[in-house]
Amino acid sequence: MKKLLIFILFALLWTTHIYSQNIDIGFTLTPLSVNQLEFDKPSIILNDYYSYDIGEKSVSFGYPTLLGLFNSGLYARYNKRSWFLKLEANYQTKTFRYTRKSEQFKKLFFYYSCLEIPVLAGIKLNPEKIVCYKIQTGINFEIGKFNHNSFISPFQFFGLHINMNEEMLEKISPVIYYYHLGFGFDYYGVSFDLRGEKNLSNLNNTKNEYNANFTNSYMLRLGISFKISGRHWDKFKKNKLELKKVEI
Amino acid sequence: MNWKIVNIVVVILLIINLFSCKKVEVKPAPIFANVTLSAEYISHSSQDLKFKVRFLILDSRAKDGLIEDDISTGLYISPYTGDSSGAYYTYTLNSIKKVSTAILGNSSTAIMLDESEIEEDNFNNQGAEYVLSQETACRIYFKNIANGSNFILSAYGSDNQLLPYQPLTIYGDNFTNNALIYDQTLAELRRYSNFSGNTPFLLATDSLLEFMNLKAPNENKNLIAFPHSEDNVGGKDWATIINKALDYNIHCNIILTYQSSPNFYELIQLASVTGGFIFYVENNQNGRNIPFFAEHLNDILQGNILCYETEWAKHSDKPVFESNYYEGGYIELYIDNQRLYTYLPYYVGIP
Repeated sequence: MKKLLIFILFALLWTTHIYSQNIDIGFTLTPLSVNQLEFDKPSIILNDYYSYDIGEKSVSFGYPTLLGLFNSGLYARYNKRSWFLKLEANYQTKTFRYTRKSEQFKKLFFYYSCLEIPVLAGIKLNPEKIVCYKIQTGINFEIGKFNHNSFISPFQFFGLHINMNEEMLEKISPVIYYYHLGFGFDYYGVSFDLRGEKNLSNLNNTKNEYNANFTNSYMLRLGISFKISGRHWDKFKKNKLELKKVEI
Repeated sequence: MNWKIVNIVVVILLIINLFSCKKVEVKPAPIFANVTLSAEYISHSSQDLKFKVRFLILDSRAKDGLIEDDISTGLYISPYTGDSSGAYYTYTLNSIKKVSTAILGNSSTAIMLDESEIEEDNFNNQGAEYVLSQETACRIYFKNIANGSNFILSAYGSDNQLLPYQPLTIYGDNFTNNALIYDQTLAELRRYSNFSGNTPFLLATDSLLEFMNLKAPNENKNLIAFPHSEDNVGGKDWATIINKALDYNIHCNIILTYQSSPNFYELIQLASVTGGFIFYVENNQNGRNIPFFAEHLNDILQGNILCYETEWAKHSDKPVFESNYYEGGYIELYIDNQRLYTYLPYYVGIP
């Protein structure tokens, strides 16, 4: 697995070197995200037989957390003058809040961890400018599952299981497609995006007649991309120097 | 000596010591459930009464559920005086042994939840925790139901949108073995359990006994009540309910929330006379032992379960024991290395 990842990394760098005029590569970060997962029934019952209040009567917004710092990945972007295509591969953790009527368990958080591959197409609104605004849309493929513990969730892909609730939470489909819309701007090698996402495919692995089923999943996120290929920082310095010269 | 090297070695050792961690095994706190299965009269004279009490002390650490510690030295019933006869009563434990209960076969069980007023400050400020445990226990019992056994859910109370029928709402027309159908109902009952309202326990029990007599498919019929409030409606008396349960051959089992329950005496009488169990949920466990108890509920209802049988002698300094003498009390004991003080309620009478 490690060899494969190293190979992919070198392949990306090599491709970028060959086509460096048109392709950027870099890394991504999602420091903030707000998530909501909707259900068709007011309570979900987990494998420990306890129920959690969800649905209309209790808000189940996820919260932006420090976990956002773990949400990172790589991207490759093919640029033309007025449009671009972007491929990302990210690790993402989404936070959902559930409630249970009890003094001890008033709030309870579930964490959904996934590997996501967003494929985006965008239009540059003012390609000539240094601050280049853009709108983008695309499809996101997610492979993931729920976990019960925030700190351990990044390690679940290595086979570390923590409690039986995980089994119940695996009732979510392992592969989910989302569509997303977003806007943002590029400033030299840094991109800022605000993206909204909603699931396209069915979220459920199995249909439950009496237990709650997932209906919709929403996500609003702030994405930041840092370009590591090319010589944009040189351009940045050069531009700054030229500006100073003009001032003189 | 090269003090620089010594210093470096000391610093490295300190760093290793700082980051090394001792593996501390944290065992989960044990959970106990005390269940009185039966109390039977053996013999009497004018100053002595002999009776036996069968009970379970379920321990989450034990392999087969029954506590493995030696409890024979810790059991006692406190002496007392003060009734109308002015007699002074003392108790002696004559024997204790493990026996198996009779085989009762598949059960038709009706659960009757108390949806009358419950406040958060009940149960040592753990009212909501108790209600959550009650809901979860029902679900555990339903999902572990034995082949051939079946159940139905009902609830009583008032001023609650989930209870359209008075005095009792029965969820379904017939007994079932489909554990899933009550998933949402139980959660809803838990969610709306804080409603204030009356407690028609007697009327509700009467209705459920009639329903069970008509609809329960198995011979082994069990009503399991979770009363937490005193009956304040009336409409029936306790003797009528007990006689009806005996006529219909229905065991009334009581999950008793705490010893100071206002109907304590009547409830343990109902359970004991009709052959039901009394599960005393102590305040100091905050109801978290109810789901644990529910894991064993199938075995208890079907019989053939290993339990303790104790024989007691009650002595009076005055001649008071005669026919129709009844008493309700509780066996006291310390378990978990004297850390947990608990009770086993019983009710026994001279025929």
